[in-house]
Amino acid sequence: MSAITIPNIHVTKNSNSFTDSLYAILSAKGVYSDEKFMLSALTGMAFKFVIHKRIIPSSIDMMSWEVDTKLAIERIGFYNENYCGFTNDPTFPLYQRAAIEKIKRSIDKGTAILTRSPKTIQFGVIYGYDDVDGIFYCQDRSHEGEMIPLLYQNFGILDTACWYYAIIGDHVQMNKRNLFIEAMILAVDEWETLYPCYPQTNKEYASGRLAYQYLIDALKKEDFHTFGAFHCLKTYCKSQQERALFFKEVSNEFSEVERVYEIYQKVAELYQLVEQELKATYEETVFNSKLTRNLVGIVEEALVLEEQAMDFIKRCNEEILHNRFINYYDVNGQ
Amino acid sequence: MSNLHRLQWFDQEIRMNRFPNANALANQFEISLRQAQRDVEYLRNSLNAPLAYDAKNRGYGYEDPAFTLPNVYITEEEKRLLKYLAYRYKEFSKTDKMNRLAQLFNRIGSDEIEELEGITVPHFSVDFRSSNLYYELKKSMKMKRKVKITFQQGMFGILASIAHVYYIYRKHEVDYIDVFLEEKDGLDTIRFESVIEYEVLNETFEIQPQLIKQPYEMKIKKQPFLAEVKGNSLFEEELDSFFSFEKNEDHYKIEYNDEEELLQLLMKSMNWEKVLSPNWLKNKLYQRLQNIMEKLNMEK
Repeated sequence: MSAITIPNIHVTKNSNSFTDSLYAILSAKGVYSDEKFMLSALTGMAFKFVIHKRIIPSSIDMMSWEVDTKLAIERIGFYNENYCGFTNDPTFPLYQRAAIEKIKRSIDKGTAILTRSPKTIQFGVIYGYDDVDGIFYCQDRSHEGEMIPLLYQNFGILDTACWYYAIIGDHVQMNKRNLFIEAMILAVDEWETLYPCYPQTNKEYASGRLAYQYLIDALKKEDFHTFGAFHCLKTYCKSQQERALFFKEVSNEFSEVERVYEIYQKVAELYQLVEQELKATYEETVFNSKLTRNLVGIVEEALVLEEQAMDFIKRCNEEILHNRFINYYDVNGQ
Repeated sequence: MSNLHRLQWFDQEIRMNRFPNANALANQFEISLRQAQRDVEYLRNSLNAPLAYDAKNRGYGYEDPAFTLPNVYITEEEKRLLKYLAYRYKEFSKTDKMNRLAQLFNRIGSDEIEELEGITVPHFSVDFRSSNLYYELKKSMKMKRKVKITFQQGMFGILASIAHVYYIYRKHEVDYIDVFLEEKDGLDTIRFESVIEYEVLNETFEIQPQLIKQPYEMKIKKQPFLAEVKGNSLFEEELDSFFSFEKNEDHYKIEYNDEEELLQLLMKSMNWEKVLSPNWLKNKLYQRLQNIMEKLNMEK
C-alpha cells in the first residue's frame, strides 16, 4: 500500500466545524480525552456568536482564521504552526509546495492536519497521503466517514480563494482553573466585540450582543438567507448547550458561577425551542411570518438572559477584566 | 423542427382574424418567401390544418376553428417555465451535465425538442409566477426598460419604486434581483417571493457603469482527477456524455472533477473490466460495495 494514513480519525458532527475537526485530530493522537463540549468552550469556539446582516451560512465560521484558530489551539496548551493566505497571491505556488511537504511530515509523525475542507466552506482534516496517486486523504463533518480525495496540486485552491492549515505539535499541561478563567474572559470578549472581521470597518458581520441585534433585525425584516438562518441557528443551539454544560463544570470549581450556569440552562432551553421551531431538516422547515415571529420572540428573550449571564461573569472576573481591558468594557455594568 | 415558433405565430394570427399569408410570414421572420410557403404547406399537409385561402382578405383562415396545433407545441407560459428551468439548472451546478440540460431547456424554450430519457437529474419545484417574473425581469434587463415594482420588505412594510434591473441570480436556493431603486437612489436586493406587483414600463434607463459587477475569476484553476479504466466500446458511449477522456484501444484515461459522478457510473455500468488507477478510487468503490454487502447480510 502506498498510502500513509493516520488511523482512528472520525470527524463527526456534534459541535462547530472547528471543534469537530480539532477533536478528531487530538483524540486520534491520544492527547485529549475530555468531552467535546469542553474543547469547544476552552478554545472559545462555543462562545463565538457571529451573524451576518442577512444571516448567510458563512456567519458561523466567520473569524480571523489565522489569529483566532492559532490562539484557540494555544489556549489549551498545544504548540501549533498556522499558515494561511490567498490563492491569487503570486507567491501561492511556493506556499503550496511548502505546505505539501509540511503536511506529509506531520502525518509521518502521526498528527493529522487542521485545514479547510476541499468540499465545504468549513474546517476539515487531512489524515493521510498517497504519493503514487498524488493525493491527500481528507475528512469533514458534512461527509462523515467518507474519504475526500484532494490532489496535491489542488491544495489551497478553493472557491473562497483562501487557504489555511495548522500543524499541531506537542503540548503542555494546563491548570484547569486557569483554563476555566480564560474561557470566561473569552466569553466576555466575544460578547463585547462588535465586528469580528478585519478591517473592523467591515460591518457586514456582527459578534456577541450586536449579533443578536443583527439576527433580530434580519428576522423582523424577513430579508434573510433561509438556509443560512437554519444552519446558523441549529449550530448556535448546539453552542448554547455546550455553554450550559461548560458552566456546570465551572460551577463545580467556582461556586460563584452557579448563577451563570442557571442562566445558561435557561438559554439552552430557549434554544431548544428554536430547534423545535426549525424542524429536523432544512427541507421540512417553512420560513413563514409565523415562524420568524416566534423566532424573534425566543431570541429576544435569550438576549436578555445572556446579558445577565455576561454581567455575572464580568463581576466574577472583575479584577482580571479591569487589568486587561481598562475602561474598554463596561465591567461593572454601569 | 426549427419552424415551430413561426407556425405558432401563423396560428395565432389566424385566430385573431388577421388573415396571414406567406408574405407576412416571410416579413415577420425575415425568411425567404419560398421558405414561408414551405411552412404554410407543412402546416396544411403534415399537421392537417384546415387552411382555407380567403381571397377577399388575401390571407389564410381555418375552415374548422376547432383545429388546434398538436401537443408538441408549447404555450408561451410553458416556454417561460422552460426558460426559467434552464436558468435554474445552470445555477444548480457548473458541471457539464447540468450545463447540457440548461442548454437543452433553453432550446426547448425556443424551438427544439430532444429526448431526456436516461438522464437522472435533480427536480425543482417551479411555479408559473416565478417563471413569469423571471421572464419579464430578464426582458426588462435586456431591453433596459424601467420596472414599476412593489415589494414587501418584511415587517417594515410594502415599498413601491421605479427599478432598474441589473442582475437576476440564484444563491443558496433563493432567487434575487439586484435593482437600482429611483426612490431610494441606490442599489437594493429583492427576493423573488417578496415582489407583490410589477409592471415593465416603456421608459428606458441608462446603465450606470459603477453598478456593473466585475466577474471574479480564479487565476489558478483546479486540476481534474485522472482515472485509468479498461472497458469495452459500450463503456465509451457511457463516458461520452459526461466525461472527457482519451482512448487507447480498450484503455480509457478519464478526467473528472467530482469523484461521485465517476463512482456512480462504475456502480451502474457493466461495460468496464478493471480500474487500473488511482488506488484510492478502487478503495472507495470497494468500500461502497462492502457497505452494500453488509446491508444485505452477505459475506465476501
